[in-house]
Amino acid sequence: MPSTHSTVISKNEHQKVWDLLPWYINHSLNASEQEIVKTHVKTCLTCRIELAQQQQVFEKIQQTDLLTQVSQASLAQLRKRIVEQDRSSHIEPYQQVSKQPESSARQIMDFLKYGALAASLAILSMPFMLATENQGSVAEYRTLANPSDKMTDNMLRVVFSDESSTAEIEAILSGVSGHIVKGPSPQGVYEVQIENQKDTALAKKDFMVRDAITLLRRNPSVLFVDLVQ
Amino acid sequence: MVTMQKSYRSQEQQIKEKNLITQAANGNAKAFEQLYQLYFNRLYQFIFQITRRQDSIEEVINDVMFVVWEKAATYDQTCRPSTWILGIAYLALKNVEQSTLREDRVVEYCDEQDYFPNRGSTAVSQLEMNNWLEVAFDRLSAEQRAVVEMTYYQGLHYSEIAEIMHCPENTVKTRMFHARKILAKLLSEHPERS
Ligand SMILES: [Zn+2]
Repeated sequence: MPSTHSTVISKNEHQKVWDLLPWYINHSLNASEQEIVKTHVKTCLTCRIELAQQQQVFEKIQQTDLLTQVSQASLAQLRKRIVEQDRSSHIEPYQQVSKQPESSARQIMDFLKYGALAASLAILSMPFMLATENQGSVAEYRTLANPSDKMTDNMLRVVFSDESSTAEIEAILSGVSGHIVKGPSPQGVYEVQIENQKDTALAKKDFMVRDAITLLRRNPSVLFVDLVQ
Repeated sequence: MVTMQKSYRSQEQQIKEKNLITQAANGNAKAFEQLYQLYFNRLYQFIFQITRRQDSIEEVINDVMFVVWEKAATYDQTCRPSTWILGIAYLALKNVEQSTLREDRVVEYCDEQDYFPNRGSTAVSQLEMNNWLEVAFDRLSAEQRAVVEMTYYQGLHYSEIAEIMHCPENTVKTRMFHARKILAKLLSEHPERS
């Protein structure tokens, strides 16, 4: 490479650099790309003007952060309220049954909504990094996922991955004191009951069902879990 | 001089986020909460800029982070944490807002003039209210907004954006190309005096 400045800039180079400018601005280019841009803009006025303009756009977009800081503060407040309300309910004098101590993890699980979207996402997020192809099944799962804030029953709907054998399914379920009541349906849905003893206190049952849901959701062979409404 | 206000891209930050995901995968709720805090703003911004709707953003964030918590063990550490998490969010939006996030192929190859079908006095007075960027974003297609947002706010490389959007890198550049034209035009007409 001669050390003298090239007076002729190839059109190709200009186009390439022009396309790369936004990522030069956000500092995400790799070293060689960055070098090409840096060198080119020294001699290309068009790119320099564009760079300055996009820099302004970049800065403007970065400023919008302030708005969301406020939202975060309000969310933190909401969270605090939820936890506090939960705590105060423990010392209610007229409460019939005392709740199990809440773990931090459970508080998060309560905080995060078991919504239909969450359920369909749980399905989608797995094949996402490989290649998404089962878009069609989303609707099915959606209809299954009834948003449930309260744990009032001990019946769950569970879908296992295709690879799971009957023995594996039974082993997984026995790990959460569950047994199959119905299923699988044509869509592969099992209805599962979590240990039901008449003398078990309501709060204890509730706790066990929540635990079962959490454990099942963390099991890689389980594609979907939710309460039967 | 360019100064990134955020440290999204730093190696240190990435290692930290990867560790948090690993800890969350092992059921560490404290680590997950930290991750939640780290990503709240990013997700808020991301979801808002793509959907242009304020309602239910926090719900979507929680749905996304719910998946992150549930599926933390499936994160394979090869891509950046942000590519993984924003990928989940993008998928969620695509899933939810199918009508809004339609293909913008048609728009991309139209002449620039077509972006302003009704440039009336309303638009101009809105611009004078110093929120030209908001107005400009409304002029972009959802996918163009997504590219601009991921570049200028999230600080992602175009290859990462292509991965998140499941499209070729050239498509990312093309979307950005058209978006930049619009943004620059509005900017030159309404220079910022902040
Ligand atoms: Zn140039």
